Amino acid sequence: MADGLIARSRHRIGPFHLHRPSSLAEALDLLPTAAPIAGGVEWVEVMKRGGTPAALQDITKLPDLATIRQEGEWLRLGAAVTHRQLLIDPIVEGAVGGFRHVWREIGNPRIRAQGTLGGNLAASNPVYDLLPVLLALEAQLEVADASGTQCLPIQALAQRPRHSLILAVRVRAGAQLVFDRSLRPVIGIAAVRRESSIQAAIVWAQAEVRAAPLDDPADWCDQLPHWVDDAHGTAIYRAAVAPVLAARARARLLLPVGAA
Amino acid sequence: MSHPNQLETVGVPVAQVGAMARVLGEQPYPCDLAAAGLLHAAVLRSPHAHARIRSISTELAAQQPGVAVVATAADLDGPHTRFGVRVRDQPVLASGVVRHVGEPVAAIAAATPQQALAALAFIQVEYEVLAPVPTIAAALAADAPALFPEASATSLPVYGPGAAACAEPSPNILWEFTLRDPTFDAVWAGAAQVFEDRYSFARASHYHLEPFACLARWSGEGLSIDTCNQDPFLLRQDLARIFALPEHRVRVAAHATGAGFGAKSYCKLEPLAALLARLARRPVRLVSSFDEEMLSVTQHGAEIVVRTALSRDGAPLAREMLIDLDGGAYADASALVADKAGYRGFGPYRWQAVACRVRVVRTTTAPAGSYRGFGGTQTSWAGERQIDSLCRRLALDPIAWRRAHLLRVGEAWWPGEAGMDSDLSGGLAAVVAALDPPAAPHAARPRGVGVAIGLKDGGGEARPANAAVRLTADGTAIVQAGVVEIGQGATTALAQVAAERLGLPLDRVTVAAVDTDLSPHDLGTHASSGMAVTAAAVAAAADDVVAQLRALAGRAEAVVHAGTVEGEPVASLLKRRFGPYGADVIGRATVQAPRSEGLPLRSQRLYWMPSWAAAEVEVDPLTGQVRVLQLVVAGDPGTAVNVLGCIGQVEGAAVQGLGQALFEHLRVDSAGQPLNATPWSYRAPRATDLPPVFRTLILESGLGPGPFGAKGIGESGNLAIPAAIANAIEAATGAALTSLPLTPEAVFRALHVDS
Amino acid sequence: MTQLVLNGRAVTAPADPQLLLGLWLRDSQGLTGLKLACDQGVCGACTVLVNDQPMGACHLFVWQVEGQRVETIESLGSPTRLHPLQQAFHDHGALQCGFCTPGMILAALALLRVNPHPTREEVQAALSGNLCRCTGYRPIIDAVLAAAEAMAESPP
Repeated sequence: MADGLIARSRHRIGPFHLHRPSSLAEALDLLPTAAPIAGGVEWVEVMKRGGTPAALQDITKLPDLATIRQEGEWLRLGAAVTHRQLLIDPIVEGAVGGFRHVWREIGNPRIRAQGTLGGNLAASNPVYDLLPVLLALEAQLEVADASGTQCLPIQALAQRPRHSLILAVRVRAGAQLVFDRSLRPVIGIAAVRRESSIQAAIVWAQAEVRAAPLDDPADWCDQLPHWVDDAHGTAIYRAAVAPVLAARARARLLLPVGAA
Repeated sequence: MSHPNQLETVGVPVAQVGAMARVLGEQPYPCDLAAAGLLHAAVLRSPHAHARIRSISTELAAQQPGVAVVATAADLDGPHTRFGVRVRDQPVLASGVVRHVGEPVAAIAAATPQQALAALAFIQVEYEVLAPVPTIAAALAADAPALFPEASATSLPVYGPGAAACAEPSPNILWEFTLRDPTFDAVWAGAAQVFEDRYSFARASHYHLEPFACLARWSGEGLSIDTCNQDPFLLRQDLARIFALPEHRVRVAAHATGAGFGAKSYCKLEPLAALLARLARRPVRLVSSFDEEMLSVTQHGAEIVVRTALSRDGAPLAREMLIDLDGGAYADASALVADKAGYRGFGPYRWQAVACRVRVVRTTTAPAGSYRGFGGTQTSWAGERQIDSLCRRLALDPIAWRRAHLLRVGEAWWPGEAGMDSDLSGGLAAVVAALDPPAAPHAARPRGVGVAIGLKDGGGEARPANAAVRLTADGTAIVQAGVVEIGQGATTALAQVAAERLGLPLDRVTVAAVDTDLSPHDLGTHASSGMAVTAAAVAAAADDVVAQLRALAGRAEAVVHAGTVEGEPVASLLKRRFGPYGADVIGRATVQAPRSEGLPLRSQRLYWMPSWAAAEVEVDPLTGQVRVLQLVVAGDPGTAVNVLGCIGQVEGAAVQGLGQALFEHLRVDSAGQPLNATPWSYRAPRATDLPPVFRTLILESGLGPGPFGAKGIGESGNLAIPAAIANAIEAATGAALTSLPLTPEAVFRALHVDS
Repeated sequence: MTQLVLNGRAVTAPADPQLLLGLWLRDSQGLTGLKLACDQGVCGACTVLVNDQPMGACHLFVWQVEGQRVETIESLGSPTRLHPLQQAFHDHGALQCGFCTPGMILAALALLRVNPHPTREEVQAALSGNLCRCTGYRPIIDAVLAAAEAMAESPP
């Protein structure tokens, strides 16, 4: 019925019911009617645009959702872990070299203190930085639904089961990360080195985010989905600078440890 | 004034008056205002860039919880309900046609903001979508839809010889201003070489942090409005006309605001709040959201053709500027911006003859209005880019060329116009000297230095101002003037001027809030006039107080200083003369700059406001990315009444200029839909954007028309920055950039595609 | 009901899930020092400290600060005894319109609590989420560095 533009406003946030499950089973039971909220950054924005849902469930008190743990060679990052936790926890930097350098520039201090991993991924916003980094890290997604808990490759994020809850992201330790955001918001590149292999993904530039092996920057570009035009830049420019950024990221990753 | 030659307060760097309240979080702003029985307003806006309104139905909305009233254009009768400077074309609520996304179509006042917003969804509007006109080119196309087929109410100022203007020469042109020196054609014909270049200027958002806020209430037949507007007396006239009231029944209280940079000038949302309050017979507060603010008023985008004629030895002969300003959907201040852009847009060189044609083109985008620099930003970009570009073509050094051909003090490019009152060449030398020596060039990342000198004038046209200074019975003073504190530091400087003239320490002087019922009349916070015009009235009013004190003391030469008259405390004198309670002594003054009928704008420029900038950049040729390594900016306040405030004005404006140069650009798509009109998607400068070397120079000429030789300085710092940075890029790479902002992609294209 | 510690005092807030911290602090607690401007987490005018962390009161629900310490600008100094940061902002021309000032001061305070001797770059980074359209930032950065020195000499 609305025949007009009603501006985004804090006063458009309507009443909703808030559940506070304390167990995973309880949370999964609620999922069909109450979507999860952790930091709330995304939900507040949705609500300011008039999209208040009938009910939400606060998942931050679920066991193991707000914790960071080393499990063998894997790092398990709970879905309700904030960006700030990722930044200050030495385990993360130990497992993914360069992570702290990259992540201290994400959002701003307030968003980093409130926003969570799971919220960022669930928002599926193509301009967000986390997904390309996780793609380049070949991370896994730990999700739970009524049938149980499973691990999916991170690229299956959009295909995760309906009414499932993102529990954690799992990253194999022993990686080195470079994330060139200098041309934000036109294009950015996340590149990860593990031993001799390098994977890289592009953000803010493509129809679909995907990582590919970065041995040769030109070959790498050829494996990626097509470039887009948007308000920030053209496909032609993106195609021109992508191999430049890729070559630079690769060169930085191939420097001896400590030299970067 | 026992020490007329030795200043005690003026010239001393002081913390801003009001800084205490602001660091404590105790400063009230219009968005904080409350009232008993207050209703909250919300506005339904157009989702289309251009559409005919077939029908609006408000019955359902009116029945929603908490709703007091729903207003549409039909609720505002009367013959003169539109507003705008010189061309009154903007309706309070859209009438018949909407002409930009975000245009107010209907509004609701309800008990809570939540209820008001929720009820908006129940207003039914039927639109017939019309073809959008998103750009200047689209508006000027032969088959463009006519945005204003019917003429608006206009008022054309009287111009002197050489200048002329025309309101609405065609449906999509709001205003056309022309200026032509009678000798122009002859001088042009004698040129040895001519250059013609086209430049584009991208519109920025004011991005002021405090959104628009006002609180309107009616009592009996009178309207009272508390607002963030910087032009309370002009607003009073608009409200009186729109609501058919005599001016004495309209009261405007203008509060210290959370910045504006021009956005809070002239009539804005106040009539809408007043309309809702009149319908509801309750106080109504209207606080726009940041998104709404970005859809309400913007800077002017521009397309500028610069034609320059030089002599055989490269000396300036003549310049013609053909300027098309993107005025957006409605007039706002566009007509005035057009005149100013044209009249002073030639750059500070020794032209023998100048000419211009400025058109304000209507488009179906947000209205463009006043923005710090007021036309000078657009012309400084184009004019100063072309100087470097033609020097390059002639293999001349752009700094040396400027130094040879800048106006000297006292020189003007129009006979009889005010001469230059700043040392332009000295300023240029100063900013260049303040750069650190450039580091050794890096082969893969070329570096270059560029300079530019922006120019506008300040003080307005024969502008009047009034002021009063009240000395209270205890010998402290209250300044009353119509300048609104929008962060520019006017309150502090006016208090300093009054304190100096009264011989009082600064902490014994305050500046009263602005209220049209109480304050002396002033045309508002415009044209950087606070120090040049209103401060002169304040100084004279303080002198009037001193004269009255001397009369009370019975000695025409009595020394008035430090709260004493010839050694007797003021309080004691006032009690002796007026009884045990004493009395206020009220000094008054009116000032007005003279008319000069023989000049095109019928008055001399009151003062010139140059802006010098030097920048060093490093360019990544493979990506087009530009790093500003060094930025030096300078301004001339005449005499720095408060040098801390002067630095703040120049430096803050310079960072706005940096944003304008590198990334700020409010965009619309081909349908006229805004692409980045939200605080998150629009990039504004952050603390991490400052160049590693960033210096501000205050160069006092002492030649200002204000008290103690002061000039205004608030609009200077941004003028030269975009051109200085682009000139540095050209020096580094040869890339001849003609469009703003200087994004990596734009630089990349200039390097690899265009050349 | 939501229990929290607001400016050193234990207080109770309504349990309504939709209640934004910024609106509750301004409308119910009279703490109007925090400003609601961009409403999108960008400008930082709504910055408050939650357990010493700068947080945006425009995008945080009251129930999310249950049991936590919330500080607003009103908890810092008084006219006769300004906090060193307030004093430095006052003295350095680190404000013009003042709308960003309370949030800027709190963001700086959060930095100085964990890093009492920041470098210029660290100050810039810590304030990168607080926008000031008036000053151009340089005097704000200077003020924070000056306050750090003052606090090292005589802690507030």
